Amino acid sequence: MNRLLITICLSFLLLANASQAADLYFDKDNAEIRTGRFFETGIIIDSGEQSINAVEGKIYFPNNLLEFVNTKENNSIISFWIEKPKLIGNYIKFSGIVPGGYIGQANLFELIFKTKQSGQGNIHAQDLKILLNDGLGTEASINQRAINFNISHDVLASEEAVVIIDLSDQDKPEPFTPMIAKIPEIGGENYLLMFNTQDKGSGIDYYQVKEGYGAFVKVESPYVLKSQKLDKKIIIKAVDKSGNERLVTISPVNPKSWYENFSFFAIIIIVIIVAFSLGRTSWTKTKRKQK
Amino acid sequence: MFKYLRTIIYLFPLFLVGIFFITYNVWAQNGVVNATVKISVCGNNIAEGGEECDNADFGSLSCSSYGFNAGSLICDIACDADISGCYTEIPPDDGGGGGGGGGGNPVIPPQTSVIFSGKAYPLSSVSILKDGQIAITTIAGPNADFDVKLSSLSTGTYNFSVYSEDEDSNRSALFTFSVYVTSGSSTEIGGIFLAPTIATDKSEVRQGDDVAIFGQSVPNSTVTIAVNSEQEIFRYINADEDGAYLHYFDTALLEKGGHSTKSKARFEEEVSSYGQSVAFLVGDANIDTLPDDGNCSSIIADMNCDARVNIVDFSIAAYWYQRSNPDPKADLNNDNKVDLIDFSIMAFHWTG
Repeated sequence: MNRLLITICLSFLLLANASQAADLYFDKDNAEIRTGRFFETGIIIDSGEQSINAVEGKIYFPNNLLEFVNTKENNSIISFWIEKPKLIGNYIKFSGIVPGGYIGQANLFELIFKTKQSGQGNIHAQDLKILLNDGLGTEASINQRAINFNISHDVLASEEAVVIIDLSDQDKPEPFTPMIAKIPEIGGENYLLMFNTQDKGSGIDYYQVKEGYGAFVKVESPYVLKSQKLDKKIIIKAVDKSGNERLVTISPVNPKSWYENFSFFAIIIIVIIVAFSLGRTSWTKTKRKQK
Repeated sequence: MFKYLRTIIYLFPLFLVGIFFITYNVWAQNGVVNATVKISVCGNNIAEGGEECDNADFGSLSCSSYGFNAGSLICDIACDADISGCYTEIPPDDGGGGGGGGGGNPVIPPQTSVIFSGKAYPLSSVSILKDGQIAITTIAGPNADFDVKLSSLSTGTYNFSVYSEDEDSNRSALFTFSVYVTSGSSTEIGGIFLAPTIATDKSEVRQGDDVAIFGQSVPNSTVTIAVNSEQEIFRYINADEDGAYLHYFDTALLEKGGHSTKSKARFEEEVSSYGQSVAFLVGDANIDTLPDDGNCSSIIADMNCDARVNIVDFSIAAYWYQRSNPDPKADLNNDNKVDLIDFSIMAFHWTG
């Protein structure tokens, strides 16, 4: 067993102060790319010696030169996305939090583009906010670096497909504990199901929920449960971008009593009908014999 | 005709009993108003009520619970323990010779795990959060030491947080760190030393009167209490054998207005960080700190009053995010909007 011993030195938390700026940059420096090729870059955040816990911003790119393909959020420091990275025009908007804070350098998310035509451009962040983990939401000062790229014409045929499905990821998404609660402003008097997990290999793709004997349906958190009596088993399926699935099951909170079970009454009724029919047949036969 | 009537009369009491049960059950369910429902989840790595196991968590069960002396239990998808991985190992016979080979023991694949150990408070509940969600809880020993193993991890970077609750249900600050976990390896995180809990007996104290500052830490540790003023004031006291500490601070040293206090502990060569700050006012009257009655006011960012700050509160804040006229309970900095600052405050007070 490969054993790594890490002794945590608590004093590093004491160094959490706002004396140093946080950095946001891309994991590639100036890039030379060819037309028709796929281009991937990660966004790195470095908090320096201060603890940060929330970040938001927009990543702009020239959409005449680059076509947005996808994002990858696996291994992101963000545990809860307020707004998962989403394409809006020529920028990708995002915001999220790290409960408990984070100190150091980490991956925020990755972007995948496909080059359209030759030309020069850059990818850069705007409206960026990084907040300190100080209980007040104090804004950290930020140093950011853009990525400049040069796209030259490629005489070869363009790449037709990009390996978005990472087949090397064989791990299921992380185990998670969903919650059931009433939140009047969201669901009125209805119970809501809330869930969230991560996938370290390829990132979470989607969630599905199955209530009782119903089928799996694609949902987002929070989800208004169909069965408000909470008498059905609920299965939540988290699926990553490689197709690996994590199932968690919630036992019925209020299991049905025996007298609420339709099948129980159906059996009794069938037994009564059969007994009544047999009795009546027998009675008819007896009466005929008497005649 | 009379026979049918007689049958109906016989069945009528049964019908009444059925109606009674159904009515009672409907009434009972309507009478229960739950904000957050206690659920048992199979697949979350925590063996809860009704489950024999959950992934790698078997609670107190092991192969020996089923009469075997070797092997490992397997947890099936229904969270029932499967004993097919258990076997009985026969000790070698010292006097005998020979003996043929054997089938060998089953090969147990290496587990990817992280072992956390450190100091909290005597017999306190210690929670480990994995990426913001409670992954496992344990109870510290009488000497405040804890040791817990978290399994079923993937290769990747995890953000772990540790916190504890003292005997008065006061929580420590979150102690957070990042670890890159490699598949098949066991990573030990040692030397965790949670900051002491802290509370005051008064929310407002008359200038010149004492305010009691108290909490819990490691037994017989030296606690440093810092009180902020124009110049920070420090007091050093020893925690007792239960880890409890108490100091009466003379507020004659403080100017009127808002102040706060925090504490850290030293035990042998280890020093904790400072824990959470507790605010109090120095003024003209003494006002006792309200006991924690479980209402929302005692826990910042607990929007649904369940004494926790977790995904439910996140969902509430996310609903109000960038909406006009948000619910005041979601607007944590009272600026009449829910934005990233409110989420940052929530992340600071997170409990999972």
